[in-house]
Amino acid sequence: MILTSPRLKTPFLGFELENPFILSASPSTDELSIARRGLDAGWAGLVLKTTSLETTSVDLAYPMMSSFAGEGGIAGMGNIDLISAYHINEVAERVRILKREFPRKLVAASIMSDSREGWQSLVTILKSADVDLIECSFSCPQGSVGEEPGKMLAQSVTATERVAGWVKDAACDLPVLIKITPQVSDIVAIAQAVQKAGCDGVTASNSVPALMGIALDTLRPIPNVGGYSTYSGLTGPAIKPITLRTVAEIARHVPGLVISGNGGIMNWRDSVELLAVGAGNAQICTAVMLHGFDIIRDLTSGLDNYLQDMRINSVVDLIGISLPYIADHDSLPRQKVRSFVVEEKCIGCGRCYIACRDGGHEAISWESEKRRPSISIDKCVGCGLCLLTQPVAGCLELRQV
Amino acid sequence: MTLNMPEIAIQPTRQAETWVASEAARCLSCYDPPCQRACPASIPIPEFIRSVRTGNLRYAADLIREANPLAAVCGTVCPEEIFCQTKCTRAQIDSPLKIRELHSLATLFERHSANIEHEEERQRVAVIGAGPAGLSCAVKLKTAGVNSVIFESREIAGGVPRNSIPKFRLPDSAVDVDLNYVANIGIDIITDTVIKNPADLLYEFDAVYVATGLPRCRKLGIPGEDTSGVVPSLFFLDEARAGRIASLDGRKVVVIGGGNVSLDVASAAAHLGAAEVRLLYRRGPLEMKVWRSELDAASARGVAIDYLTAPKALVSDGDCLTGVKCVKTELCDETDSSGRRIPREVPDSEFVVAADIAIVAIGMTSGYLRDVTINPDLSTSIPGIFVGGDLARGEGTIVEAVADGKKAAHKILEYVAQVGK
Repeated sequence: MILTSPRLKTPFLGFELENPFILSASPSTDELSIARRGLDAGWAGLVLKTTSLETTSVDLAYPMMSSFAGEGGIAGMGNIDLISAYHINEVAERVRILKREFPRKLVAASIMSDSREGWQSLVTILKSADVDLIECSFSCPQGSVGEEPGKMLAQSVTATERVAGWVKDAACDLPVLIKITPQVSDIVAIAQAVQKAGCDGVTASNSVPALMGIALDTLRPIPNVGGYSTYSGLTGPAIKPITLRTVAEIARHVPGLVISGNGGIMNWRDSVELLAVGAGNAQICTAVMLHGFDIIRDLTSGLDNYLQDMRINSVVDLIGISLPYIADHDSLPRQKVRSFVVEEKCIGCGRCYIACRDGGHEAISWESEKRRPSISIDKCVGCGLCLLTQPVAGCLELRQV
Repeated sequence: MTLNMPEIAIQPTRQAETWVASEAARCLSCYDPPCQRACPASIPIPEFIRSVRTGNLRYAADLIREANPLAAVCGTVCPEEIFCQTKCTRAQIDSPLKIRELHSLATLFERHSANIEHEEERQRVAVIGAGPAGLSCAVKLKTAGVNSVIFESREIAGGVPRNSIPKFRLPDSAVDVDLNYVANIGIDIITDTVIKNPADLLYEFDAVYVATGLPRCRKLGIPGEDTSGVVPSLFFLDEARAGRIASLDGRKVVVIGGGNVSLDVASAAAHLGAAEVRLLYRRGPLEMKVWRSELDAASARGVAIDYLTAPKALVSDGDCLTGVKCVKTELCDETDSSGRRIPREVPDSEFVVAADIAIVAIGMTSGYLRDVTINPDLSTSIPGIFVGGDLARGEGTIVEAVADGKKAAHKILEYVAQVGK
């Protein structure tokens, strides 16, 4: 069941997306046949995997994928993938084909280059293919073509403004998004540089540079590529909070700049959060790579049912709805809260007792006979740590006192 | 704007919310899911479980309903031990998912859609029998844009689930959820109406689907079967479900059978307070074709099973039943067509089991459509008449009847499209 609902319609840079879910530049958009199935499955649009000039060499190393586990499955996925091995002429042809086959979907292309001429000729070729939008990768953590070796373009305010300016000069009316990295000291300054250069918006944000782990049996880093490894780009659930902060910072401090949200959105719940902090849509890659295109059905119906339950008329009304409640630490209200055991839900596991004893304020005592925690209202400061240990939803709660 | 989360409709039992989340998280979301292939109704099991996991329970409910028009009934009584659960890949790691329980929980979150309107108002198909097969067929026809009307001979629609399965296994509330769904999407059911000859309906309708089930009980064919106190299984189940048997307090009940229906009968008799319930079965435990869960439930209610025991006659004091004359049996090495060993009477082993009531549960027959030939594709020798459910297949489960109805709807749609031209 593919859901089309008026509530999900998402205007974005002059397009009317049928829902806010777009396939981000990734292996899922790197083959025409795969990309086509994604659009058929009900995604509102896609960004074709980052391409380059015909002369750019793309030298991949395998295996390239890895992951690390949290307590409930994969917490983060890492890749040492590079940009697409398909160069600009092939990608421009795919844009033409997909636009013909899916006239109502957003067909965007992602590009990367290392010179003014390079960036601008990529833009010109894509323009002639009638691409809907150009995304510029300023932030691929692996093999990025930065201002200086080992550095990403979007880690420099001046380089970002300069290169974004080149691209926009060539693109003119064609919308341009700059895909940025969250790994900077001042995300707002980068976003402002994009805006100053005249670009339409940012894709916030790319994968996070990471070392995926060390295999304990060999003591070699992960992924093991012939005995060696390199840093990966981390994606998936682990980076969602980073993405939310990045998007919120830009939305709060750079008004007028369009934000395409990206990074760690695994399901419709995550997408609600992303939109609520100011993203105009949600790009998704890791969830699709792990679970397939058909998750779009749960994404769209889940978001639609949620909007209906919350009496929010449309995706547009959801965008930025939580921003007014993000404040600096100084200005947070100081309130007195305490933790309470909800007796009828407590199953007597004692996890809250251990947490408060060793990581809190020794405010919980343990009644061995009854197997029940008991919280001292005088010692409890209301830090909320015990709530994180709940085996059962709602067995502990914070109340104002 | 105030942000208030809607109240969760279900009251948690044994920490249901926490259980559901962790149980759903155990699903491996297999490709070409074996559970789904094992489900006669082809419910998209991993997909609905993913939505359960994300808290998108209404969509999970919609997926289940789309595949299975008797979503609530099957969520309550479907024998998962012979279908989906037997194929769960997770069993190779620890234990199979409790799929039916997840299904059942998701179904509670359904919001019924309103009447599906179609341009063509005419009812083109008549369905005979408002049981699982008939209901399923009518729903599938309706969602494909073809209106039908259901004729039901009994007072209450719903077939075996609503009239025969004991309430303690399947409460009216569950059946009513499904019947309300059928009514809400605009399907008419005309009850209390016997159709003597389905072919007569072809004057008014383009096609007729006959799914009248197996309403008659087989007879033992032994002396004394007409004695007062000897009761056919379906009659007993129907009377018990309808509340017309107040109590069996202090009575000794003997059930003759060995299938799932005999277990329902025995459990129902125990539930009604019988002093003793004995199930007589002529073969051994290995030959008994029953679901483990039902057998355990019957045992838990105190039902005693006498294996290798065959009835020879029903004994009375002239007016009322006093007992069942039985003979012990032993199993030969030869097997019958079902692959089970054949029982043979042990000479001089006759004995009498005392009984006030004997309930005969040795299988059902139809007695309907005797002069009609049924083709393998479930069409018949009369063009426009299709059959299905237990009537065509023999005794089966509810979910199999649901699947029959879906399959028939497909055939009927093809047929009416041709006739309509």
